[in-house]
Amino acid sequence: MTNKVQVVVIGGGATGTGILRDLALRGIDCLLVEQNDLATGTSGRFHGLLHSGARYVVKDLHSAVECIQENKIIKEIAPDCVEDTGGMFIATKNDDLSYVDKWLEGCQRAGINTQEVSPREILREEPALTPDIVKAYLVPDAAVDGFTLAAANALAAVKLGAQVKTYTKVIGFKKEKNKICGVYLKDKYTGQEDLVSCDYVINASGAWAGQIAALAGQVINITPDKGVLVIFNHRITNRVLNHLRPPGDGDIFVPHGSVTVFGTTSKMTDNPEDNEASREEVLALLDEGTHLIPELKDIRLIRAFAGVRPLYQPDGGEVGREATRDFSIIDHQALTGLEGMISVVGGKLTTYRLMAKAAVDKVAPFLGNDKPCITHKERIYAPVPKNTGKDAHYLCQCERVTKKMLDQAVQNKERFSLSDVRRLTRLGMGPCQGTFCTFRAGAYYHETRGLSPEAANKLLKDHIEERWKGSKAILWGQQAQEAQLTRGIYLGLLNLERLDSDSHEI
Amino acid sequence: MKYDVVVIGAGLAGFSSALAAVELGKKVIVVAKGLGNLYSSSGYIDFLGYYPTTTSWPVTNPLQALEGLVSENPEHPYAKVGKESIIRSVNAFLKASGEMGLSYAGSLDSNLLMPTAAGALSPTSLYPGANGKDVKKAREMVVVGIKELIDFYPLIVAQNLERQLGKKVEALWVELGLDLGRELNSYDLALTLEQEKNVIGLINKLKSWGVKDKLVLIPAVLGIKDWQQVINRLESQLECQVMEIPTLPPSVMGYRLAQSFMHYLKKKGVEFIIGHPVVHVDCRAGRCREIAIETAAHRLKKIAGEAFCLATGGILGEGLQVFPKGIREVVFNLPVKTAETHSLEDFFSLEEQPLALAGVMTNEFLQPVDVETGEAALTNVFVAGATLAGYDPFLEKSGNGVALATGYRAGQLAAGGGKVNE
Repeated sequence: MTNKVQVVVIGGGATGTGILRDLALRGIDCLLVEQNDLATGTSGRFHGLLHSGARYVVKDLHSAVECIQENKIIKEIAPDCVEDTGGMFIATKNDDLSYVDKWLEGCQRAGINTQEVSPREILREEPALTPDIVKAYLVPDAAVDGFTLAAANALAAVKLGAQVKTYTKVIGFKKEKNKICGVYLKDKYTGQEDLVSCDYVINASGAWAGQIAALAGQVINITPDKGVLVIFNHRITNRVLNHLRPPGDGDIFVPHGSVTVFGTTSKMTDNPEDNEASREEVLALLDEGTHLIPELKDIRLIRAFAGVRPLYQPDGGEVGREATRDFSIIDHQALTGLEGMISVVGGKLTTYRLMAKAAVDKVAPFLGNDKPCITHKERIYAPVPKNTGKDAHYLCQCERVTKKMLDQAVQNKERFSLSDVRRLTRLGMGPCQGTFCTFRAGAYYHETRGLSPEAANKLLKDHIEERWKGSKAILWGQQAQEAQLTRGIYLGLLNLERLDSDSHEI
Repeated sequence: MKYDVVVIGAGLAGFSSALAAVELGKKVIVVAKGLGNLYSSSGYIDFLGYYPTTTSWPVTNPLQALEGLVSENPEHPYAKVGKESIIRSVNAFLKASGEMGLSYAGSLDSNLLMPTAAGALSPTSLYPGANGKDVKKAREMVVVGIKELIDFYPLIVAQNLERQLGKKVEALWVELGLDLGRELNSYDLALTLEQEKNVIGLINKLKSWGVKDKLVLIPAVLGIKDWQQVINRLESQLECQVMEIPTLPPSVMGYRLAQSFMHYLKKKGVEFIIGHPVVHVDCRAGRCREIAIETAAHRLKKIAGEAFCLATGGILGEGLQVFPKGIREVVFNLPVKTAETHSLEDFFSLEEQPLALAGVMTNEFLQPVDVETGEAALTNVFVAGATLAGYDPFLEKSGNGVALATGYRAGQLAAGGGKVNE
């Protein structure tokens, strides 16, 4: 790779990849570095809701307005990444109905279309809902796939000449006088260190933004805020389901592929990598969820995990649910005199494109570039398109992943994990959580990619371990049974636990 | 209706109980809510593959290792039944399997290393006779994959075997030309290999590759019913040896064992009611009088018995149900021994998983006991198989062995009418 670019973008989530694409569309030479795979931070660890903005209309009208505008744009430019399920807000007889009026007024002010539906009608369409509904409204919420969105943005940028380095950690900055002029990088696989010179750095590392800024001697007050989510083994509702009440824990259900994501909670944490959910957190979440879905506890849980919201408080203000969901561009030059770096913090996935635009608008003039942002005008495409027709030979039957999709997912990749493949294809994301397809995919890649048997065994075992991480806090009911089935296959039948593997850990 | 022995559960433990009781001339019925996990098992009967579980060295002589286990680990189901019972169950099974036409071979004195569908080597004691081939001794081996099958990949099997055995192993793909418009699992494929033209197709493909004098390792799909003939034909026409490798569920080798065993028991006079869960039990003064199953249209059918064998399986077989705070035995609501945590950090850990160790505690007569006091909770109920506490079958490779041994013992005790310690 060339060791000089105009801009280095740090962070491979929706914001970072969005920035990369925006830069590339304006003709700016750029490189994105990400410490893991794309969308492995918060962009891949949230409920996957493309907000209509309705959730924020009462408390944060400004965010709500941004959401509805971006909601329309993302549906236009990224149809591969969005399932336009529509959304609904449900108030039950136990909810405060005076909130409904405030909410309706807010939706109107924000420009969000709402359509009231009778409880009877909504129950006919969504029979899993509680019969205690008193008010139901449809809104333009949708499900968005954060993994595909980041990958599609990155792909669009790469096609325009941008570079992406995943599994690459920023370990320091090179400064001249009081200006950033380069970034020190370390390859997480090989351990090789490298310097990339640049004119500007955009820190878009979300919950890690404070840690990155610290490497440049800067202080940013990020309060990582942990949200716990669980996944159920089927689509409980057809639409995104919101509880019509002031935003709280356990009030959003989002259908994705063959499953439902349900969350979330809000709890301060000091570690952006705090991504495991505890049994107690899950049980508390389920209690909340039964207000909307009475049979919730009888539905099989297949996974529990957590994401960390990168909430930003410029002056040590509110935290948790009270903190703004708005984003900020921190100009380090204005704050401390350090030139050549901004940090993009706060915000939410729905408004990633807007954040990218604001960041690039800020940086472009320093590079003598006055081109306008056009990210809202051009389509982006998923690197691995869904299987649309003739091939009915599935390697992952839950999520209908074909061999061709597996080939596409690792095209031009020297090395990859099955988790990388999963993020692009949904392999192993369905009800069996990789029990059957992990074995098949590991063996398939062994042959088609010419892997050593040790590397193939590791590929397979790592993915089973990764799926286990999300399952071990929720081992009860049918998921306990599924876990035993997985053990029966990988330990009992295949005897893989004692088959050695010797490739390196990353 | 009244029976001498009522067996609840239709897995290997239940069948083994029924076998023991019917051999003693008892009137036996098997009731089960489903077909049991034998259908998804490998069809091998592993008694003890690794001991202690943390070792990576396979047990060479299971009988010897069992002696150590029985004295060192009194809570293990093998310790409850003891060595003599284990040996009796093996002898009874080998004899019965011959009469079933399955002709299992092997013994408790040694483990044979069987190649798995990932190319690992798994120690096992009893196996279908046709599989009694030693990969360590084979001179030339070829692993054959069938393109239509989604669950078997010969190259990884061959390369993993090569590393462990230190000799060259070939890999070969054949395509049978079955265009069914979708991927096939093992059972699907085994059905198509019941057809003459497909068997001939397979033989011709292998002939053109050249497998003479080699050991051919092939996924277990060589027919559902006539597989032994198919193997014989392959071996005689190709002048090679053939060994099947058990595959991911639906496992054909498990299916053959389950079907054959059930038919055999039926011929011996055992009655079966499959597909209906036990919904009610009548227990008084430490004895079970009768159970009721739910049949069509929620009707209850009562089944009375002198003694009962509980072989409903563990968590996988749904004999045990896990809740966020505790585990329930589903038929009699027996006391269950649980662990405080449900899971270890690592899936592939060589430590026993706490969840796998959970189960019903028994005394040496396999009668369920109170976890605290050790008193028998029911004196004419005998527990067998994965419902039992105290072992991790997947890690020590003992699932079918424990099922067979404890099932047989439970059946014998039940045949005595539950008067063992009165």
